[in-house]
Amino acid sequence: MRIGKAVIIARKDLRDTFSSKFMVASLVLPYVMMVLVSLLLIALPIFFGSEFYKYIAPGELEKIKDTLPETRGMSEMQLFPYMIGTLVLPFLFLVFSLASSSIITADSFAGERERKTIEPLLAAPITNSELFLGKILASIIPTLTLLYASFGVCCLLINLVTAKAFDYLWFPPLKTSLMVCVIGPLYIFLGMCLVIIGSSRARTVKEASNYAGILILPLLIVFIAQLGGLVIMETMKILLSALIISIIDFSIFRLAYSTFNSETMIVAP
Amino acid sequence: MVYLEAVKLAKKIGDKQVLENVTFGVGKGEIIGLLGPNGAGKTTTMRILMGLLRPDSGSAKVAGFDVFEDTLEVRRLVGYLPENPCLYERLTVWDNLAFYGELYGVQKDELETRINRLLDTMGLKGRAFSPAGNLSKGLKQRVAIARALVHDPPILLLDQPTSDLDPVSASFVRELIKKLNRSGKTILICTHNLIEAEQLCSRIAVINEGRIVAIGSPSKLRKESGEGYTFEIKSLKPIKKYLNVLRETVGESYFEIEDELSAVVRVGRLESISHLIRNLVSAGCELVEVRMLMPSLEDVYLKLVRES
Repeated sequence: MRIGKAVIIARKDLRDTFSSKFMVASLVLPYVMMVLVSLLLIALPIFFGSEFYKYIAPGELEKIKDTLPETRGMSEMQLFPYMIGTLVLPFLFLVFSLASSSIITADSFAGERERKTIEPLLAAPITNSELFLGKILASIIPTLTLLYASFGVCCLLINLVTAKAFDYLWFPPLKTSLMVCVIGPLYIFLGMCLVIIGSSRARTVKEASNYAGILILPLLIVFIAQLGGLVIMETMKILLSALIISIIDFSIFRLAYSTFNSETMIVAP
Repeated sequence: MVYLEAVKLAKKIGDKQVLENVTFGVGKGEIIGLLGPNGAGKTTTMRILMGLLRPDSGSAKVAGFDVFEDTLEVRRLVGYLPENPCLYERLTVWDNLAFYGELYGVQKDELETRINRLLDTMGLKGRAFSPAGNLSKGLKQRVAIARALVHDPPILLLDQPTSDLDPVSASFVRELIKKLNRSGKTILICTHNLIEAEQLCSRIAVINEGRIVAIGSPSKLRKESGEGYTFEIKSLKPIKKYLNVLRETVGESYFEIEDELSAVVRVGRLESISHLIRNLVSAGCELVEVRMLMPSLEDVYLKLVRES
């Protein structure tokens, strides 16, 4: 495989994607929204002070402390931001990144079919694997860049906003870092593979991007179970989940690669 | 020397047998047209020759390379123009060409010179940095042709290069194809435009329902498809006066009175027409014109398609 050819394809795809204002907006705005929503949620107790905790049902704080034993020694002002940062924020990052990556992946794969640009590309002297790698790079590079950049910005702003309540840099806790930086890319990759499979069947970018939607459901289940205290995402559990997702990634990736051939892309309805 | 060869190609897509036993060859430097109605199998044949579709049986070779064993080598030798321009509309004309140039391995310095030359040839110099999506259909087709030429291939496969173009753009493209052929490029054109096929191609392969029904030069096709010869005769006196002569010489069903002074006659052999002329003159007919009517390529094509 000639990596150089894949890089040429990735560069073209990136230029093509970022030359569309609509695409840029669809990719960047969810992250901006996510950072703002995270900040807003975390900053609530800071702005409202102890008044804020009047709106939380009695016993709920104790339940949080059971779910997150490391919060036992925390003050009231620290408790809620920590809970949001550990239980809510990672899921926000996963959901928004998944949505963003499915748009860019569908644009790269199904977009070529929808815009009828795929045929000369398939007729060029490149192998299927070079083309596939180029497209994967074009999808994963902006997605991961946006994920890590927005997470970095979020970390900075959250520490700034909560500086009064915490007198140390508390964000991100290890669990949040693992969820965003390890589970995040693996889960995004899984979504990308599903969109690639969908692209061989779908007629439009929109249709193909929906294939990643199926991955929102397991996230929601874990999220709700966690808030209800049914599941506690500890470090070991997160690492084990990463391993399981990696195995699923590998199998789905192979399936996605097998659907990626010129005949399917040209002849499929 | 056969430079491009399809041997007994067969291909089924879904339930439809798209190609059946398609065999033809293109000589080096030749320009051949694959002529047929929509859905005849022209595009599928091209796609097989590019290695984009695998036939169910049969083989294809380009410059001696097997299309499916040496696919990349074949693709390096061929410039392919699909049915649609297939341009990245958000990218500029220059970026579209540069991307394919890089993909085909053209060196950076050489690529710049080549793109400039192509833009010049195609009359796109002023549009180099316009997004391809802003161009008219004719200009998009020119960019697509430039893309097929960016690696300077010796062979060109052009799928309906002038379809949907206005007469000016179509004429530009035809002239360009002629020029490319004169410069030594071997060209296979898919078209359902008979005038285009006749103007451009030294040979035409008529394809219908996935089968090649005839192949040869336009004049050969005319000769082969014709049933004898057709003549128009004009007289100074009403032709009806000589109906008996016509009946006795060529037979009742082989002539047709066109108007008062002319008739169209079909004969199986050339000798028959000279016999008819002699008999008409002997009967007092003052002939002023005897003209052989050539069947048009359209007649030939329609006949071949109907018969197949």
